[in-house]
Amino acid sequence: MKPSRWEIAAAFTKAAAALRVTHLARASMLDRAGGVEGLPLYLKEADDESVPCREMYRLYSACLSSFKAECAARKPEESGVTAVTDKDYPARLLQIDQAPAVLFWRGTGLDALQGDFVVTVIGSRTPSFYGLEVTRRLCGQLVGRGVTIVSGGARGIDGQAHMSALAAGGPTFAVLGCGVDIVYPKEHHRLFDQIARSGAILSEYYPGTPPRRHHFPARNRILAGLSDAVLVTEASASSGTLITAGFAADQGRDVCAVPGSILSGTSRSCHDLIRDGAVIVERADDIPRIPAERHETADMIPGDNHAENAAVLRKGYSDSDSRGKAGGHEARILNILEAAPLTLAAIAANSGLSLRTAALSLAVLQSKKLVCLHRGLYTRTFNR
Amino acid sequence: MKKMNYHRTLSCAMTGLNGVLVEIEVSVLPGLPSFEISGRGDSAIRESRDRVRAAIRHSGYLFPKGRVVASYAPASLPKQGSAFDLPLALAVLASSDQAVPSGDAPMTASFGELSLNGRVKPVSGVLGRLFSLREEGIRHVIGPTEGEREASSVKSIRYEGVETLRQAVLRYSGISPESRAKQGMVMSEEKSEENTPDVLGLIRGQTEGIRACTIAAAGWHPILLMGAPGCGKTTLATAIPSILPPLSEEESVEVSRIYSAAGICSFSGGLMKRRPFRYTHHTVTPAALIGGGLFPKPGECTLAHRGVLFLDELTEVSPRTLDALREPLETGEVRLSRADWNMVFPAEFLFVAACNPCRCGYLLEPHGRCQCDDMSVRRHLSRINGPLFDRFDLIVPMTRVDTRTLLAVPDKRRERGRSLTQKTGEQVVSAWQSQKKRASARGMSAFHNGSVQVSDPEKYFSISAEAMRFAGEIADQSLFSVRSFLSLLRIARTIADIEKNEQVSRGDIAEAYHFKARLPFSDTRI
Repeated sequence: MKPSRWEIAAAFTKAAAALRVTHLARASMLDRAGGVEGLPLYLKEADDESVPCREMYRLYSACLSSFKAECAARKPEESGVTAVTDKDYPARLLQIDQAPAVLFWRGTGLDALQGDFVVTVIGSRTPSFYGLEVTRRLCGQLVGRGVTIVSGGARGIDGQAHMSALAAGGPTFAVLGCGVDIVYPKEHHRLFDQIARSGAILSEYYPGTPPRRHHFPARNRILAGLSDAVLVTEASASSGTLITAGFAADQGRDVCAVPGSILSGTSRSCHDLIRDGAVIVERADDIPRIPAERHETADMIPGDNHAENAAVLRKGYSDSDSRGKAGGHEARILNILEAAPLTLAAIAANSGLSLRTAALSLAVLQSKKLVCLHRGLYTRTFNR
Repeated sequence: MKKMNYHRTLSCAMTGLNGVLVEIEVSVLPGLPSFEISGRGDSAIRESRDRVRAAIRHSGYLFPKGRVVASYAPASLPKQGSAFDLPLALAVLASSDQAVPSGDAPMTASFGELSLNGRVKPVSGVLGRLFSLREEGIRHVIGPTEGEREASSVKSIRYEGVETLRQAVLRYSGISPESRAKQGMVMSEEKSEENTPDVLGLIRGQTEGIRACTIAAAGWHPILLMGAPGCGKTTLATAIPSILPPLSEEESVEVSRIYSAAGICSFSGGLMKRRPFRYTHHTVTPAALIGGGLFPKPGECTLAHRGVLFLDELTEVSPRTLDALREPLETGEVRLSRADWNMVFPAEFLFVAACNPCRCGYLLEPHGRCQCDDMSVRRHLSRINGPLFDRFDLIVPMTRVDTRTLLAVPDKRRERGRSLTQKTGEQVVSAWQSQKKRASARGMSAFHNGSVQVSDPEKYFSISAEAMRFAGEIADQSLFSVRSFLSLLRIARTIADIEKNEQVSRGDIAEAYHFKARLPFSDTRI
């Protein structure tokens, strides 16, 4: 039986990876073979000096037979292969160095990646409440402007970006550092299924590749390459997002970053990026070259109205003002939490209140959903 | 007619914390010289033959010639230990006419280990043995001198401490030197503990932790201290016994009996006055924690009865060991069942545990030092299984103390010469009293807010309608289970007791809510 496209591509990628054939060389092989289907014949008969075709063919055949055996298990439903020679290969990705010769994907296809605007949203794997909230809002606004959201499918900001994009009804794409048939991190099992239904999960690695430490920095070049702009919503010092931002800068993409508190230390890398010339983003429109025609509809997105927020806050204060001084305490605590999440003892110390009064105010604030307990610390939430 | 060479003495075997009356019979029969003991004894009892033989010779008596047969009844009960040396020796001597038992002798029990030269050595479980003997109607006991202090607390038993086998024979024959008996009765008074060190006052910062421990001590609430390594969790936990009221007389006997049976207390120590504090490390095994063994021995849970059980590094304890804790936490006792025996040990302890909040330990520290993601935090804390986690009334977040607080002069806390420890201790005592009053009005014996079982908490805890509404509001928002909601009310009541409030107010509920066990995750989904 003739091997399928998926099998050929998987065996080819595995053989090329084993022989350390560069993506550039892989692309030229594909080019000469005239696409994925022509690869077996090309590898068998070519006598090209520049690439080790004979060796490649031997390995390819070995990989193919092993893949055929496990193919049924390895190929998810609704999946496919896109090579550089194919029409649906993302145009933006063609511009970069070491563009992956073959992309494996699971989902509806890569068409939405050709859209007029694509933004990669990345950030910390251990975000603060602030980071999650910022990501939620900006992704919502971006999807409202018809922007496609790409991210890395990791825990934290990445997962939040995908979730927010899905919640807003937009397509979203996850670029993985392992085979597309592998779910990593495991708890994103359902999220990945949802992504596959709206956009796709893609990877340059052949199916069955386990997640390895060094895959992720390499994967980041694709993350940056797929998009027009890279948006870092929250990243503390020594974050891996700096690598992606570096790729983005090299590839001529716009690097955007959301500033955070200088007290909590959770936005240090964002500030480093801004210092190096990244665009400061407060709302989606701050991202350069974003399609403008949809701004009006986008403003309808909730949670973006500062005036309304302030009014709700004031109302929150005055509600408790009717009960005497307590409202003053609550306002003071909110003010303190504005800077950084804290423990009760720290709040009491900073506000000069006793533990008891601070606890009462915090309980009231929690019942009003103005404060929540996030990762063990009392954290200011934002009205929505 | 020839006189029968037979004698019977009484002694006491230990099973768990209680004693069982044991009859020791010795018969000297004609035949080749031999010495046999029957009645399910362990190797210590088999070896006692040689000890007794040597002790008798070295005390100047003669070991009877002929076949000496000893029998320990009830024969079905497995017996262990060296406490039967003395009664066996007395029986051997009496059956060979070298001792003349007094008229009391049939109702005299004895126990003690013998050394080869005839000295009587201490044995464990003196208190337990004496209580059980008293229940059996025994009024006269001969035992090692080291047991006199413990024995002085058992009324209506005449305990005679002896140093040598010779003295024991004299007492057994009804000859008591008056002067020594008097001397033995003089109790050296416990030194008054007015000058206890101010343990709490030495702890800098951690006001939140001290407050939580006060609440835990006042209402007997299980408490979990959670914080970065080195932030003072252990120090705080070790300070808890210093704010607990001293043991009452009954409790003191109860606890001393446990310690006496376990053979842990110093034999000259008399009764325990302070509440026990048991520091258990995470390598503890289930048997060590709840008790067990070939002959049932109390575990840490029972040793901490009426005191504090501190389990450090809770997340590192093996799941099986943690599972074993559930029953004592729920029922206040440990039930052990083995092929040979069933046993119930008391285990009403204040459970104090400590753990790191995440793998690196810095989750609760501000400034984003912790790099653990939510999943790894969840995985770390999931080592404490849900049901056990549910039983913690209070979870205390603890953070690093900055050097400014650490180096601050602490004497501002002293008020009218009383230390912080004393003041807090008084708060706890008064909270206990108001709880006792409330419980006795209903005729309940268990009085602590943490363990009392009531069907109408709103009325029993006298919670104001406004506070109850507030409690319902925040409980609904946090999706509290019924158990968690009840525990919220319990903590609030304890806080009100500490603050001497008749009614539970909103403030009490709010403070309880802060300490009520919640996992350190975002509780509002985005």
